[in-house]
Amino acid sequence: MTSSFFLRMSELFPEKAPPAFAVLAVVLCMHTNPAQALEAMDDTEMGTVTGQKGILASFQYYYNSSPAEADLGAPLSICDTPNGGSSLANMNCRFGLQLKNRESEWLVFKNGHASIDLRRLAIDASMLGDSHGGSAAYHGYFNEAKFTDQDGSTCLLPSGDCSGAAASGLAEMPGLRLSYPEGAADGFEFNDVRFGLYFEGLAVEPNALVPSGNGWEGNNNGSFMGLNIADNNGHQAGIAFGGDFYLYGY
Amino acid sequence: MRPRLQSTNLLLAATLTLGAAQAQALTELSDDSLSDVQGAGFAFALDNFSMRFAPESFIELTGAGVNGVGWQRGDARYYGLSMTNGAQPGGTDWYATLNGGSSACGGSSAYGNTFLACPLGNGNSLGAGVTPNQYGIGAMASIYDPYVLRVFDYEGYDFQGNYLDGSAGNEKPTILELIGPSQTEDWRWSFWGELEVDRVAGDPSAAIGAANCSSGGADCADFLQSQTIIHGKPTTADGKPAILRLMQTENTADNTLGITYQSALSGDFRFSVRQKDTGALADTLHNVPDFDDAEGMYFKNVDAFLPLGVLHYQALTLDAVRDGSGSATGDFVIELTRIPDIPEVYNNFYCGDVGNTGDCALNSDGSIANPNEDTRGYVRWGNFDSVNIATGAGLPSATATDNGIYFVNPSAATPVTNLGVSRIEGMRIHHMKITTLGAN
Repeated sequence: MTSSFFLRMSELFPEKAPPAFAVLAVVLCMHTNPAQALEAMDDTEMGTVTGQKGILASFQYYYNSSPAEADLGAPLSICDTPNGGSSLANMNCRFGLQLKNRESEWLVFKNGHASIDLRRLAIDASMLGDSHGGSAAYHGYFNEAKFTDQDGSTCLLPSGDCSGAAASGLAEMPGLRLSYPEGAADGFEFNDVRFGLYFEGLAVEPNALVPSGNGWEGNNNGSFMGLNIADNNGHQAGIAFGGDFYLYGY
Repeated sequence: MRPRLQSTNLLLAATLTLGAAQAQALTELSDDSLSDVQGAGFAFALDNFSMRFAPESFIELTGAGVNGVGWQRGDARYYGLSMTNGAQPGGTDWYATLNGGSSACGGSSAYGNTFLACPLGNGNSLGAGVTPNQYGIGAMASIYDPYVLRVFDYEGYDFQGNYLDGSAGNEKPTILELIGPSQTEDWRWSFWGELEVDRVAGDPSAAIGAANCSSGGADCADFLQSQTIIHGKPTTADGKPAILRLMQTENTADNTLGITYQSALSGDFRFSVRQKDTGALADTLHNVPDFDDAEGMYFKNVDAFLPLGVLHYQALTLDAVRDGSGSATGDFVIELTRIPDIPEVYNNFYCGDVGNTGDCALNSDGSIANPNEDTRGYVRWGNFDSVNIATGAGLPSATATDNGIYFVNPSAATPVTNLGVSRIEGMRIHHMKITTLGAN
């Protein structure tokens, strides 16, 4: 398996940008040791934030596929050209899944590759009450059961009051807000997320038919279906997102 | 200001550390740690939200080479999947999105397609919410009724007939659940599909732009292009949400991944195939069609509720198709497990009875007096509220477009033909098995 992982973060802060938030590009190669990953920023670093804007993040992940601009998401040469036969035996581009109590076989995704490219996703903090669905017009939507304990009576919200929308204090709670504020400003309408996924074949392979006992190395059962998420003009489907996605906890 | 910033910092930090999972493998939670579960969880609010695949972007299920006589390879593509505004009638379609043009589509009261003529709704107010979005569904999941992802536990019978109520020896199993909203604004869910038969990979008949064999011609392909538009909500008409639950099955004979899913959907549905573009690219393989605004099959006032699985004695499980020696043969099985043959479980499945306390009393006509509404599914095509079943009064007329199932052919002398209303009630699934074919 070969994968590469790119993360670019840019900030929208005014002049007093602290060093911790300088524009940075991180390139990680995860051939054998996927130990390096995003690191948490501590409260001290983040407490020096002075602006009210959030961050823009771009993220790319290529799994057995190429990040070259000429043909984004194309399968690497280590995968075989699909031919419905011998290509299903390719060992470089394979993914196996095993479920509990089904340990005598593997569900094997054969000759596959994937990629995902999130472009300039805005991550910001927001008051939940700023949302369209957080206005007084939607107080009637308040669903008490979602915010109470198993006993049905203990309110889990910080306000401790689940009697109604106004009393709940949800509108005054902060939340993480994800959005794509730039829309089609880059000239492309469906460029918010580029996602490609392909596997030529899918089959359940038993351990018993493979000398090593690893069913995921087997190709005795061919395939019953394949999946391809792409575009007429390339290997990645283009997806446009609009509006806001709020994440909060209680 | 400071406390608010602290919460914000924590939330931002939490998001950024999600990627650190690579360094540490997931470890199984023990029952001790799970016993402190209280129901707190993540909430996701979708505000002014829309998702649109590009008109030429697709999800494709590809078929396999077949061995049986009479069988042909099938490939299905779902293009342009979109979730967009359903509160305002204004909209556009995939053809205009790709090629431009201002008068993409429009509805007519004559066909009842005010919201079903255009697959992509773009009439949302740009002043709504924080991020402007003309395609947005205003309160797709309000902060007051969000999508909730949480760990929870419920009482219920297990596969062996034991009632798990949290008492000693009968601990309630922990499940992971994702609950949808019970109230939401209308949305439009749509895609255009292409079903291709007998594709020969690498042949000119499999290339973009191949003509349809129904029109004749060399290097033609056999395919059907269609559009599907749903205008409604992922809830039932009376507000039951969709719920997905994951758990380990409480079955001593087969302890594996179990899934229960409560499907809820209400609204109007349209399926159509006619294309109005008569240009060179019309009805050619993989090229975006310009669908007719009115033609199609309509289902008005649909209300569907289908519970698959019951906590904790029935769940969807995955397994392999096996030969005589127990070895997997390549295909797999999705099974909604059989209801255990235990009287207490049966009474709970039909009547919600716990401990045989008599909730399964019958009416004088033999029907169950107190049926378990959580396990009773239904699909209604049409609103029955105003219909007198005995006399037929209140049924939609033969040309009605506000209720029931009807076809529209704008070219015909009588464009609308209404078949009436229909429904399936009292549906409970004791056992269901779906098996794939084609491997090996």
